[in-house]
Amino acid sequence: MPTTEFGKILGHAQKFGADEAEVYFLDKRLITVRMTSGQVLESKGIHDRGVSIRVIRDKAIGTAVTNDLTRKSLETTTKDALAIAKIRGPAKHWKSLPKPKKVKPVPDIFDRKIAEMEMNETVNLAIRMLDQAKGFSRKIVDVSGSLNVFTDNVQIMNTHGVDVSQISTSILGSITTEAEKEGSRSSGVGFQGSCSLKEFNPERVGKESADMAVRSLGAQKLEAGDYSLILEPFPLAEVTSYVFAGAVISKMYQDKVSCFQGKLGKVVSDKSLSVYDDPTMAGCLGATSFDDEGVPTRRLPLIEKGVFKNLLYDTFYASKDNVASTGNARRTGNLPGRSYSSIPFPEPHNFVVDRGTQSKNELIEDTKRGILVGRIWYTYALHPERGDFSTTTRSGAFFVQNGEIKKPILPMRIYDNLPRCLKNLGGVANDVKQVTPWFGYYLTAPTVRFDSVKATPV
Amino acid sequence: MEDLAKVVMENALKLGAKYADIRIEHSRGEGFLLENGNVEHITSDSTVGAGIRVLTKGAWGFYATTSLDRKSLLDAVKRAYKMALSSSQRVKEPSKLAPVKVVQDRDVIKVKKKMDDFPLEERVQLAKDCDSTMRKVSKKIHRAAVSISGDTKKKLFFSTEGALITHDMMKCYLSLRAVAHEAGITEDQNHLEGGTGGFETIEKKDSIKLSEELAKKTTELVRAPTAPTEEMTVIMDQDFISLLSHEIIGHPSEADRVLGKEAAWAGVAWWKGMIGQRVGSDLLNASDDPQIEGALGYYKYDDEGVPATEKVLIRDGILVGHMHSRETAAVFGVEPNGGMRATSSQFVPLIRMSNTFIKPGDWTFEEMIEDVKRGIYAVGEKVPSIDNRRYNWQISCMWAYMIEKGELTKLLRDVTIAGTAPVFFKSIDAVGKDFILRPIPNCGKGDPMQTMYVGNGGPHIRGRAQVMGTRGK
Repeated sequence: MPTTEFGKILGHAQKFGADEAEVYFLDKRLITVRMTSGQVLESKGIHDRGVSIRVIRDKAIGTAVTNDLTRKSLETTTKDALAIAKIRGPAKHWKSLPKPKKVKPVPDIFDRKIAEMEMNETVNLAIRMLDQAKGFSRKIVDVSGSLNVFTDNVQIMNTHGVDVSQISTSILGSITTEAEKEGSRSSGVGFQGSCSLKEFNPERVGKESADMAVRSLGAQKLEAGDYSLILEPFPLAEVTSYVFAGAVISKMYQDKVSCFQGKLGKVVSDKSLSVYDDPTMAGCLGATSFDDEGVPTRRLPLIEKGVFKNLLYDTFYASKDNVASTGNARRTGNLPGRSYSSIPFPEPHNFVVDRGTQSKNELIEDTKRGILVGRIWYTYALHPERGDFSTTTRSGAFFVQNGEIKKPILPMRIYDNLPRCLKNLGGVANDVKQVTPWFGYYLTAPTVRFDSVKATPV
Repeated sequence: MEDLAKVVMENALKLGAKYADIRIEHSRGEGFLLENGNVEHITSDSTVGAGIRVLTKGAWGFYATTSLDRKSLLDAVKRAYKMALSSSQRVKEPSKLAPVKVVQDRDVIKVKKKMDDFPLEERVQLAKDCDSTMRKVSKKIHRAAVSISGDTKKKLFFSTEGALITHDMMKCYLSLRAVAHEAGITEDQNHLEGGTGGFETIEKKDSIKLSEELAKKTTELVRAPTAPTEEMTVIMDQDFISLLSHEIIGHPSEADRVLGKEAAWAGVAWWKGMIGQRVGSDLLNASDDPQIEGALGYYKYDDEGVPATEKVLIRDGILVGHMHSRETAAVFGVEPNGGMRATSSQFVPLIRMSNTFIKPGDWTFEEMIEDVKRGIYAVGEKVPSIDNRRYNWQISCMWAYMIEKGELTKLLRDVTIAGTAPVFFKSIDAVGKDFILRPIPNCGKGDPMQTMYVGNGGPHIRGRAQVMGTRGK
């Protein structure tokens, strides 16, 4: 959308009575290739673009969204936003929309090759993932998965002079493989994501998935008990997305439903753990030089050497605590990446767990009685305020005894408590990988071990 | 738009499509969240879009756009066709569609109270009344939250077979949340009302009374003990059954899961290949039925233009059917039963639940409880934990009561119930006649993820399951 149109919307908003106004425009192109039963099921393309207009009058905030980009519709949407602000009434704590600040571009977040990928090329990449998994072993009986390729072109302008734009690309590949031998059936998962095509290795995704499935054949039941839980990055991302994130989002903390309530500045985990939100890492998924309100992003310590350091803030929730936004305003929807149809909410861009000094093998060798897991499933916080959570192992689960991987195991349900797990952190490896669970947050992390976790066979 | 849709479909055939359909939508939505007397945010959206599906050479292509002019839609159909051609590389099992009667119809649901008949100001006032009611119950209620949403949608479906269906829909819901805290114990409880129709679906409920009851119970719970951990007789209320029927009956009944086509993310189904076999006691009967007017999962035609019908899933404990698309119906050799829906025109339709439920029996609640020596009465649903075959389940309830010598005794907090599907289903020895269907507005499936409105429910059910108390404080 031409910048002149932004100026017109902001001008209209002020003419209609707004003290402040903001225009958020997103143009998204997404291609998804879905694979099932060892073949391509469907290829899908979406071109979605729209505008979110936010106005403030006498501290009352109103937001309205449209994807009809005609001038008439944009004027109506601006008036709708003002009418909503009037109904909403003043937010007494409100300070202001963001003021302009210097934005430092994050390198390597756009690859023209991804943005201009032809459909055939996308399908061929998907088939390369599929073929690698299918050809890995005769024991492979089913392969499915998806490849998502998207480009987000975002522009944000407000009446204080914020005027930022960015175009970024992402490619996410995932393969699930099923293997079978002598009545035993197992599954494996492989995932890789990146902002550039050259970093994306489709064969690796397929191979990882098939390898996990084959290694998991012959799984046996394990008895209930307390185990060291060794989570590889992919399952760890479920825990950070669905349990940990709720503890560090300012809105949850303000609502007193964070399991770290009252612990800011205090120890919440073993000192070997440091967790950040870092959207400034060159070329990584979730990388962005500004958030969805135009506030510059930064590497934000959340837990540093075991101490709880910061919450994630957008402008609205920061003003409630009389602090500055941490650059974590995000507008997320059903499609991966950004969405114009949601209002800003404080969320992580890319959780980062600092690497440890041990290799993954050393972490396993250091384990007396544990469960190594490659994929978990249905992870939920049962009581967010306490940090109780449950999840079930789905793929790549192995019993570890006296430092050795002894046998693959059938699904176990983990039912424990996040603060307890963090205090019982048994080690952090150095095998860092970036992953994302289904509909979750990006995570850049190594394998991590939590000791004395309760697990029951299902 | 009908003429333009026809032109686009004619172009699909000219390009070489064996089959194509287009869905054009105009949507409007308004929703807000009110917390502790203050409006946290209000959202308003007005969007348009079109999604075109093309089948050629046994493979599917799809393209969605937010531009509804002739040029954009003709470009979109070309892209969808190109997608299908790309998908068709090395197809081993070509997609086929089971035949259906071609329908031309206009479906307009009954709406008594439209958006403008119940202005946003009045909705906010209703929410404020609910909020203040909750907070007046006790000082222990440190947070009350109310949200009300309304979404209208006009949909046009047109296919190369000649189907032409328009839908005029509206869905609403009201969500109540009370959080109580005392002496280090926090209890956080929710209640949801809603359905297909206008705001009368919310207004007909006594939301003030519901708010008061929710706040009272939440307050009581902070002083309640938790449950013992042991296997025992469990009577589940209709709300608990709504999530159980969703997770353990609805999801594994989706034929795409049964065929392994959702294995990558949403999972598979443990009862694959078990049609005709016993999966539960004689008392277990379950169906999926989109035809229930007013329910959140109501529709007259699915997003393939197939008329809605009751899908009988379990009859007298025997697995008898699944939910189907035209494609899976062809694979199974059955009639399509209208199970395909997409969240919006941006997405391809998937096999989704509509209203999935356990059918009522002939027991009263009093009869169910009177011969239980020691058991649990599980009320409401909170959080599920399910394996990807939908075989083993664990669901936490909002609260529970001990049942001792045929009577409800202690109120219990933070109780979780677990079991395996066939063992639990076969243990069912009493099914109530007090059927209730509940709204579930956030069922997730697909890649990219689609969030769907569905209805789930049933009557009171009695069986045996593992009961667990809390692991935390």
